[in-house]
Amino acid sequence: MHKNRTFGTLYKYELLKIFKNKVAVITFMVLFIFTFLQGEFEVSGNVTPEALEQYRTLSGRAIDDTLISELLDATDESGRIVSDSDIAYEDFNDWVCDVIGYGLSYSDLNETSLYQERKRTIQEAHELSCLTEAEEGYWADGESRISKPIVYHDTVVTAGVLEGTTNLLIMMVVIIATALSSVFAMETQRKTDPMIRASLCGNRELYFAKILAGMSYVLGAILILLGVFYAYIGIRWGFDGMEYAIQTYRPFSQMALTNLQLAGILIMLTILGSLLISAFSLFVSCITRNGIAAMAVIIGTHLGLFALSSMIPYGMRALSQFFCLMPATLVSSRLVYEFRLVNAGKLLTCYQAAPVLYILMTALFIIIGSIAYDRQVK
Amino acid sequence: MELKADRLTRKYDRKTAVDGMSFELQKGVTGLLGANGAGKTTLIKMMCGILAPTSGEITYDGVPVKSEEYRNVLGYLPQDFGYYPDFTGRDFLMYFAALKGLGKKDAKERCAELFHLVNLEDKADVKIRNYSGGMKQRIGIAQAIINRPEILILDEPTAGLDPGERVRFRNLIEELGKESIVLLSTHIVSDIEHVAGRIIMMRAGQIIWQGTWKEEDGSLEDFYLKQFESGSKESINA
Repeated sequence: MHKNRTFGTLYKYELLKIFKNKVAVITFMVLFIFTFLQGEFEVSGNVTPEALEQYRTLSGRAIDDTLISELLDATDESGRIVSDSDIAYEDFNDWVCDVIGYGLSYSDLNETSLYQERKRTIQEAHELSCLTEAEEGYWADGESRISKPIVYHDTVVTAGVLEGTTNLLIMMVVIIATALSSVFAMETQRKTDPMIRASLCGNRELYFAKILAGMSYVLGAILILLGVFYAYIGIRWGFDGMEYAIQTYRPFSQMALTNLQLAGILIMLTILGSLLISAFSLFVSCITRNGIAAMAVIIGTHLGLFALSSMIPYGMRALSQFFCLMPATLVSSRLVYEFRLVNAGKLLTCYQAAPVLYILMTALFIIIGSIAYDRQVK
Repeated sequence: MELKADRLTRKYDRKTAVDGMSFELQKGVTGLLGANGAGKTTLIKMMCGILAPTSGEITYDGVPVKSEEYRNVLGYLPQDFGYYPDFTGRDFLMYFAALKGLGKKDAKERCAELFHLVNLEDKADVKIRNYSGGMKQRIGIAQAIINRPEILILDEPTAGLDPGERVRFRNLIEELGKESIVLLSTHIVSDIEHVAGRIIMMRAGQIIWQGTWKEEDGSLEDFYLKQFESGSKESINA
């Protein structure tokens, strides 16, 4: 018997089967084109090049009384930019509006009131999240590491990069559903399963060859899409502003991170999240043995998790937090506002806990799938 | 070299598809005759380890059917088998060679031999979606024997073959039977009349007759019809 020597060949042919899946290839190609479009319009859709140039005249300035008084000169009482010549303050004004919300009028706006309003909103969020004392302490420490006054930079590119990365995961769900839903199901639907099962390497070896092929395809696809997206943004727009604190984009965050670091975290979570969704998809394909049913379960589960995560009350903390940790919700810059921590011996933020959880869940789906595949001989 | 089925039974809810069948197969071609629904395919699936018996067991020289050793010497062509339409014939055979544990070099050599044997040399690099029914059947037969099996189980293998191909196929089976245990399941008597040294007749999940059949015994078809109509369970065991 020469089982081990054929694993590479099995892997190659399993990968070939995925590449021969026209629906999967067409889906990937369409989304590949959309990734270029996204690289363009995530930035240019929100601002003209002239306005961006104006915004950047304020970049690098501390958000203090001087800058705020300039803003007040450029706005009316309701906070609107009065003159086209003051367009440079537009993006900064959006940031200020985001911080003060309805809690403070422009007539009372100054450096102290602005930072106090930020602090008050964060405290409200803590109360809503029912944080423990340990968690409060963790965030107090985080807050102390954020240098103030916050230094302003426009977030046009930052927003494009972070929101675009979130969109890539949604694209990946579609790519995964079309490519992997049939990996196991096709053998039943094409009636090749009996010949495979009667073969020496048709059980465990083939199972793992299929898993590896499916996950390699997904890994390749996400790396290509991420590469295209970031290369396009970098070449077309540059990464100005990414080296600034995330408070320039998400002012209430208490994480001491830069926008670039957050983008790195989202990239890692997009990759690990895609692999988790792949493992789940392969598991569903193995269990249902029906490509269409598997595709429906994969997409339905992703959408369901996304919808449910905002519906489960914070009072049901464990469940609500688990849903928040799923890729559908977590791969987003908005989760810098997730103040609830995971206690795993030491306190971890959602971004720290998720990679470990994703790796464990991926391994779990592969192992359970392997047992199910073995037991399918009736 | 002995493949042994001992009191083999398979039940589905209330229906018993195979009911306490026992037989032993040695080197040579054995024909498994039975009408549609007689339980042939269920029996074959159990013999290939892809369906577990409700009771009883199958062993090959003492090795159980569920073992890797058994699968290593098994070749199987199911009835109405599937293929990958976008694979070429060569891809298909190389894939099954890998599934059967053949190394790359051995697999390539074996593929070349088999394309010649099943008369598909000029179609090796054509996608299977463009094959005729008979060509698909021949590539199926090729995958079944790619690992030079000691046990070859063929379920209705002549479906889709034209008369010329049937003759060629019979010769191939006769040749394989010299070295291996070949079980050929069919409901067409003429498929096995001239190649099977031994016959097992099935009806309603049971053996109604098993034994050897020679041309001088007369028409196998007439004998089969007689056995089938009488429903006799007496074994002639010649």
